[in-house]
Amino acid sequence: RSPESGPSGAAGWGAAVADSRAAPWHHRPVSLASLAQRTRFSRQELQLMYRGFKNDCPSGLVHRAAFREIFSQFFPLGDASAYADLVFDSFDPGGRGCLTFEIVIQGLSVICKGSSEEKLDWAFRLYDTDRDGFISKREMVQLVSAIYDMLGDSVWPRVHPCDAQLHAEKIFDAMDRDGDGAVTFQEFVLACRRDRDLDTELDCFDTLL
Amino acid sequence: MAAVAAWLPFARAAAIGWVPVAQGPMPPPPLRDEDHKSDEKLIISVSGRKFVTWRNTLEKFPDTLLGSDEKEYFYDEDSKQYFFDRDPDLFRHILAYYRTGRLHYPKNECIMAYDEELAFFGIMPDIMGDCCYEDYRDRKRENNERLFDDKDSDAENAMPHSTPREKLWRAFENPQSSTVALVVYYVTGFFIAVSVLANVFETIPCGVEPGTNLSPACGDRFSVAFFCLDTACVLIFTVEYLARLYAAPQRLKHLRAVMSVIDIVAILPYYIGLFMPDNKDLSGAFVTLRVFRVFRIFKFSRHSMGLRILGYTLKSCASELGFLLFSMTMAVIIFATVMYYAEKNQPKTGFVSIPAAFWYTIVTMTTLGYGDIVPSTIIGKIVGGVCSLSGVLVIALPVPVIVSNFSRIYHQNQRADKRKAQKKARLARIRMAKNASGAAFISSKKRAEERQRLQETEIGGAECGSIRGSGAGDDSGSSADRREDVFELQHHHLLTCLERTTEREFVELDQLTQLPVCSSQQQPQPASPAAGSDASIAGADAELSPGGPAGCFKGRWRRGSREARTYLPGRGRAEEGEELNRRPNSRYQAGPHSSSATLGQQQLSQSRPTRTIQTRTTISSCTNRPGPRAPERIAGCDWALLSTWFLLLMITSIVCCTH
Repeated sequence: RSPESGPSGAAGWGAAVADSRAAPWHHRPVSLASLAQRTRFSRQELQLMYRGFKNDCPSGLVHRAAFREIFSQFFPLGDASAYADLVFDSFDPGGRGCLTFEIVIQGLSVICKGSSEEKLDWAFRLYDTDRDGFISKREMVQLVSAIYDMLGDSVWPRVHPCDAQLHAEKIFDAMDRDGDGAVTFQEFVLACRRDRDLDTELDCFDTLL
Repeated sequence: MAAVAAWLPFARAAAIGWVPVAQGPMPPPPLRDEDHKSDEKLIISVSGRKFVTWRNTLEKFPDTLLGSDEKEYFYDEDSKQYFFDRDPDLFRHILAYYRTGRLHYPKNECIMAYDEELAFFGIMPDIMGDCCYEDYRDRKRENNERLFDDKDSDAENAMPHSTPREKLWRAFENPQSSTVALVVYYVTGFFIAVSVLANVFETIPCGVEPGTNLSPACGDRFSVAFFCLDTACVLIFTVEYLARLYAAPQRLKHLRAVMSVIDIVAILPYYIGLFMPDNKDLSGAFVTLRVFRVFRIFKFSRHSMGLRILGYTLKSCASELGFLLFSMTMAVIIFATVMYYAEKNQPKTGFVSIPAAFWYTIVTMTTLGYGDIVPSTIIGKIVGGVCSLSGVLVIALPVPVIVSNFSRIYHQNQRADKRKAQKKARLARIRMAKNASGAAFISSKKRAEERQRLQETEIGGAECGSIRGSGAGDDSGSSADRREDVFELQHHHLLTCLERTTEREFVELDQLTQLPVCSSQQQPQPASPAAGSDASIAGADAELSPGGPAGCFKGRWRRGSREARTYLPGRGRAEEGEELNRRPNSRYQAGPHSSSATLGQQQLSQSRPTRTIQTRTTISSCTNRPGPRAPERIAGCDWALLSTWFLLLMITSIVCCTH
């Protein structure tokens, strides 16, 4: 529904216009009022976020490479590109390779201001990269490795190559009650709620703007 | 990092994915809702021009002035804005850095001013964007070189106490640094010229030898005379070389320097010839060695700036020259081969081999065209034509690069000389202005003290106004005076404390008679000017102290017509010297305290209001830096060189004619 004004005018862009799956070069979001209505952010928060967004991505679109770079700035010691890719994919189900402001805000509205179930649902989609409804051991390992990558070298105790694998397997085995090699959403939620105060922990990631 | 602060919510939200795999609980969040301020706009006023921005924009870079708490120092409560007393035009660029995250360099601004602004606001220039960084670095380097040049020559001259070795080295490197150096410079130049001319003239046929029909070369007829001349020159060169070697700060490095190698090559053939036995077989080699004597002419590069620049240009254009050489070689080989194969079957042809054709090709490509070898076939002529056309092209390509390099370096050099010359005049003018202001300050201080004294002696304070009216002429009203000169009064008080501390007294203009006589009375006098000087006048006085004893000799030597010009060091222009002489009391001096009894002679001289010739001389002696550096001296060296050459030519021609 978001209007995508494709390239127009210049002759060199002619071929690109014809291709409907070509990546758009510029994007203007919907009005502030409608976005404030649709999401759980207030007008001020939206304004603040859009100003920052527009500053870093003047074209209104975030491409995968740009997103990776932005994300890496928060984890300067390690390599955050793997995790950034996972997050990017979780926001971009269509696989178009770029995110618009609305997509980002709508996703954030769920993650930041949603209920614990919604947050866990997003987390599940983050883990489940192939979207088959189950988390396999491979996917778990992939995610945990991505998290460990963000640490970098200057940590104590040192990170061994097999640490991520062991950690992932431990968690997976704990989650996978029936031992069928795949974790469903219910198993996931149960495992998360068990012996931790999930709601408080999930809330601690709220950012005040 | 803070440039992407707006994405922080995203990154934090993405961290929810860690919770399921976390092996321990997460820490509680840092901020509570109550102590959070949402974004607000800040007004920054820079010299009255208002800039408005979000607080978040500024806090993107927390290690700068605007991004940290440091800006609170500049917060103006009354107008609720941050006020900076800086240049608003440059601030624009600073703020652009916060807004876009990229620092740009405005090309029309002075680089020092820009640097200062960056330093003030705590921004490192290294984060400049790639678009502007190169330009910035180039300008910075150019500026540094310029300042370094000036500072270098200053540092050189401000070294009064150096070992004889250092003095010798300085004398060699900078002929203007002392008279001895100048003499050495001219003498070596003279002998280089003599030696080179002797080499040239000894090959001229010198008239018919009586008894035979031959006319031998001059060198053979007057071999003894030429040998003596050669010996003298080589002796001088050897002494000079050894002296340079001794004086050099890093002998090994000096040994490898180009000029040193040239010196060695210039004198070695002579010594080899001395020790060579009188063997006929070796004398052929010896004759070849004499060719190297012509390298003495390169010794002139110490005397001529133009020659040095030429050498430097060739060195810096080495790649262009290499390209020229390479392309010429390629073209020569191609054309020579083609010509050879075109012409080899002609009868009586000059193209006997390809190397023989090289000569033809080179002569043709450089458009010399001697005509000793010419093609006779049609193909040969066509190829020859193409060869000459392409020769012009190939040579014309790298030459402009070399020319422009030379021109750039030459102009740079000229600018440096001009700057040095202007600097003396500029500094002198600045010194004069400082002296004037310093003197005016002291007079106002004296007047204030007078007033104070009168006030104290008055029983009733009511007559202050009338008494003061008769004093110095610039007082308008007593209370007005007191109100506006609070700062000055405290400044005066400070100087008075200094006077009491050092038991000296600041003297006024008209009481200035003469500096301490240098020869015998080398009392704490030279120290006191330096100690007693005001910060604002320190510049002028710093020159006094080093001039002390060494200057006396020069003073006495420089009496007479030079005194007008040498009154202040470095005065190159006679007219400015005149102007200075008209107000010679623009120098602020610290004389001894009038109550001190030990320096009776100073007291005597102090009371004398007029100045005599002796006075001026001694003033000039003590204030004189070694060797005035008038700008005409730079041209004067070349003049001296030319006249030396001319003189030599005359002498040698006379000598030849008389035989």
